[in-house]
This record gives sequence, structure tokens and C-alpha cells, in this order.
Amino acid sequence: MKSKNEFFVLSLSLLLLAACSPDKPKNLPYLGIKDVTANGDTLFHTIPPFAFLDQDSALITEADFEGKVYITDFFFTSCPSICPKMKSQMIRIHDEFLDDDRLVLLSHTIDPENDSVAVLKAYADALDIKTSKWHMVTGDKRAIYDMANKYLVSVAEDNQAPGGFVHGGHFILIDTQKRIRGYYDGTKEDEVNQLMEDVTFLLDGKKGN
Amino acid sequence: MEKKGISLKTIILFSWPVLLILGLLIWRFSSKGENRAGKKLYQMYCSNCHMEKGEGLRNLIPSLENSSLIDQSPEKLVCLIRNGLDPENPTAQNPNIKLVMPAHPTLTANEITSLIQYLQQSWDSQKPLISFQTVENEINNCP
Repeated sequence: MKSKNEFFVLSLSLLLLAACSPDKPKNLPYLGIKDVTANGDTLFHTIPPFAFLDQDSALITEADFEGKVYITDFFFTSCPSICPKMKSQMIRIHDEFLDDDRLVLLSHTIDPENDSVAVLKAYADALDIKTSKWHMVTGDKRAIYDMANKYLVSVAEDNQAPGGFVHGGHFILIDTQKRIRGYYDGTKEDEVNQLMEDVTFLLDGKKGN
Repeated sequence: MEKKGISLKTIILFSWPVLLILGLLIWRFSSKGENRAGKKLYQMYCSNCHMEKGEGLRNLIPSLENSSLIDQSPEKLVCLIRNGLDPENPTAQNPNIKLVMPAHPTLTANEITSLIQYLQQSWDSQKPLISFQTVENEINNCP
């Protein structure tokens, strides 16, 4: 009888221990096509150099993201469909990581003809965001659309779409080595929660709370 | 045989209070004045920009929480919803940005009535709920 009780207590405490123990160390995938060099090293897909103008007319290049984790997306200021939701979610990330310089946000307009620096400035001001934390960039249309391809997302002009453009609502997570580590639906709160957790993992090597 | 008769009696005897409670519960949760049609229309046409709880988006998209239109003059919402906002209109939130309130010309008077009533119910309008007749009159006089 006693041994039965002991067994019960032991299994109960094991169960409790399992429930309380921290999550297994997790890792994030490396996305995109991988290559293998002659000596067997894996080459991951990385984001190539770029140069765009942000809302303060500053030239923003890959050098500004050196050693930083960043989240990027594609949008346009007159977008009536998913952009407001994406921006409201990006604001959450902006506010959450406002004082952490290791994370930067980068939003590309896919409508550079209308979205000049002045328009981006008005948009950024209306959202009350800090430029050093969140760059909204414009530039050569071909260059922007090419960059979307490098981030492996699709954007296109389409007269039938609301506002004249189609684009997915993805937030793309890029690590300090310019590798793609995740895609998240920027219109969904729970996916953005996951994204913030993954950012914390990349920055600190542990899951956020 | 007798046993079966008793159990049937018992079922009848005990089932009516259960049914009564069930009915009350259904009534409580289905007809508490909730404007389902209006809520559905809000989620379909408005929540994308004004957000699920009407909080808007900082200074880009107006919040509905302290809207004087909803509070004081809901009838003015009729043409606003149907025609949207002209980007050249100085009342547009930010003239530099061409993000405008889209027009909804296909919404019927009935739908607009449900929608505005939902706005009034959700954000405590001082005015009585708008009537179908008022909405129809406003539509006929929209610019």
C-alpha cells in the first residue's frame, strides 16, 4: 500500500515538474533556397544590398541594419484594405521595442509614384513613430519590387485590387546575418505575438514572456 | 411495462423545467437587443480601418469612441458612409495622405440603418436610434 502511495506521489511530482519546466530550447528555421559550398558549408539565402530614402530623406542601406535584427513589410499609404491593420500591429512592435536598438523596422512603399518622402513623412507623423526605430522607405519602383522578390514575397500592380495594388500582409523577420527567419501574418494579433517572441529569441537566445 | 410507464412520466415531469431553463438561456443570449446585422456590417465594412473596437489608428484613422457624429448627429453618417470622403475635402483627416474613407454605394437603406444603429448602440449616442425613414430621406438628398 505504501509503495503504491509513493509511486503516486512520485508520478504526480514528475508531472508537475514537467508542467513547470521551461520550454525546450527552440530554434527558428532559415528560409529560402540553400546552397552548399565545395567544402560542405551551407550557404543560406541572404538579403542583398539596397538603398532607399526614408521619411526623413535619409538614405537607408543594408549598412544601417548591420548587426541588427529587423522586421520588414510592403505597403502603400493609400491602401484601404489590409494596411491599417498591418500598421496597427507594427505599432505594437514599435512600442514594445522602442528602447531596444537591436531591433529596427523597415516598411517599403510599393507605390513610390504617390508615396514620396513628404507623403511618408505625413504618414509616419500621423502614426507618431520614431524614425530611428521605424524607417518607411521609398525609391525606384523596380528596385523596390526586386527587393520584394529577394524577401520572397509577391507584390504587384492590379487595377482590380482595392487601391490598385496587391500584396500579402506579411511581416518578414531578418536576423543579424541578413537571413530570413520567419513570415508572420501582419494583420493577426496572435501571429504578431509569436513574431515578438521570436524577436526576443533572436536577440537574447531565449523565449520572451 | 409498469416501469416503462413510470419512466415516461418522470421524463415528462422533469423535462419541462429543463426546457424552461434552456428556453430562458436561449432568449437571454439571443435577444438581448443585440444588433447582429449591424455588427456584421461593421466587421465587413468598417473594422479594417476603424479597428475591431473602433479605436482607429492614432492620427491616421479617426477613433469612433468620441465621435460627435455618432453622438450628436447620426443622420450625417448616412451620406458619409454611402459616398465616403473625398481626398480633396478639407475635412479629410490628413490632406497629404490619400488614404480616404471609401464609398459604399451598394449598401441599402436597410443596411445603413442597421449599421448606424450599431454605431449608436456601441458608442452610446445621445440621440435616439436612427430610423429607416430618416436614412431613406438622407440617401435621397445625398450629394
